[in-house]
Amino acid sequence: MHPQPNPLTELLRLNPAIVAAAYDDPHNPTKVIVHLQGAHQLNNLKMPTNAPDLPHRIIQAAPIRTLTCPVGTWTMTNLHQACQHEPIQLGTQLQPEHGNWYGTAGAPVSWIDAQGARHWGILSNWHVMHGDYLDHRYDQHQPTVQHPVCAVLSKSTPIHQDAPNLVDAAIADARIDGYHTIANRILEIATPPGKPLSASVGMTVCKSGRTTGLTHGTCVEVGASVRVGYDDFTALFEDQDVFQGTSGSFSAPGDSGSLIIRYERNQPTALLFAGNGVLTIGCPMRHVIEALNLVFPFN
Amino acid sequence: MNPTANAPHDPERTHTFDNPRPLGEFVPCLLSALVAAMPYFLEAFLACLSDGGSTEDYQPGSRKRC
Repeated sequence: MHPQPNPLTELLRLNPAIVAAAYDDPHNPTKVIVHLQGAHQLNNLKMPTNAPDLPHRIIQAAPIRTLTCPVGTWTMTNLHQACQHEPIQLGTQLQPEHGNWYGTAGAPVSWIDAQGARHWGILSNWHVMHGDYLDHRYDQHQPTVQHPVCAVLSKSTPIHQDAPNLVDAAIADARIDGYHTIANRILEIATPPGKPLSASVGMTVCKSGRTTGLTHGTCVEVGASVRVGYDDFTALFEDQDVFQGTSGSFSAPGDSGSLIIRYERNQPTALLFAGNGVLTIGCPMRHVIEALNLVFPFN
Repeated sequence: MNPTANAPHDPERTHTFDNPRPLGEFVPCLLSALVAAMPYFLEAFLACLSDGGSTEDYQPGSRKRC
């Protein structure tokens, strides 16, 4: 028996003008929040047959895109964009070999490989760590390819264009010549990341990223279906967390890969990967952990 | 008169520290030591045979890279 398609994802599939949709309360929904692009009207939209009969709240929104930024826009004096000696604190600029963009080396993580061996390295996004060439080895550089390799791509989650996705994530092994290049620390965040926790509406969060540095925000939606623009294609994601900045933007291009953390408790909640200047989209950590076999604590 | 002429025989005086232990006592002692160390030898041997994987802990580096 095939599982029922997610009604929110079906709403996006039927209506290209919708960039994101979520219930106000996933456990007890009373309305559907629809982020609509441009001047489209709700009465022109197609509704899926399995959509619950709920009122809608319409919010005008810009398209949501992945948040890398072009090479050449970095500032040496910016703490998050400057070169670091070992051990490197995360929340810092990352450039993949053969990639003409920057993203964020988001978090120190540990994982178990298929042979049962433990590794330590960097968590970021697939679209940050993959280079343009079909190379057999994707070296990662901090902050630019002019600086030594800090990690090598180990595993990533492929993005499907014909089915909904849960995760855009990747991990790179930071063990280079016998020593790990990274610290168990994130820039501007006092203590190392702790035990992961699922986000909830109203939760205050922070993140440390390449472009906007340390920013604070609030979780405004969970369980959202989102349409995300990549360089060459568009992909649908479901069961995503949505955040907004407390004062100003929570994220900007270049912040892809940042770890979104529950403020004051240092609990990882989501992996930042897309946004539109107002909304920031994060993959819930439970999906990231399952996809990449991450283990906690770090050490 | 020799004061030790009629002294009783002291069996302890027949042992000295230079006398080697009889072989019958040495071999069981050696075997016991080998049996006790066997788990450690086995663990090291298996670690050498393991293909890939890391039995090392997280070790942060301190290299200058800028």
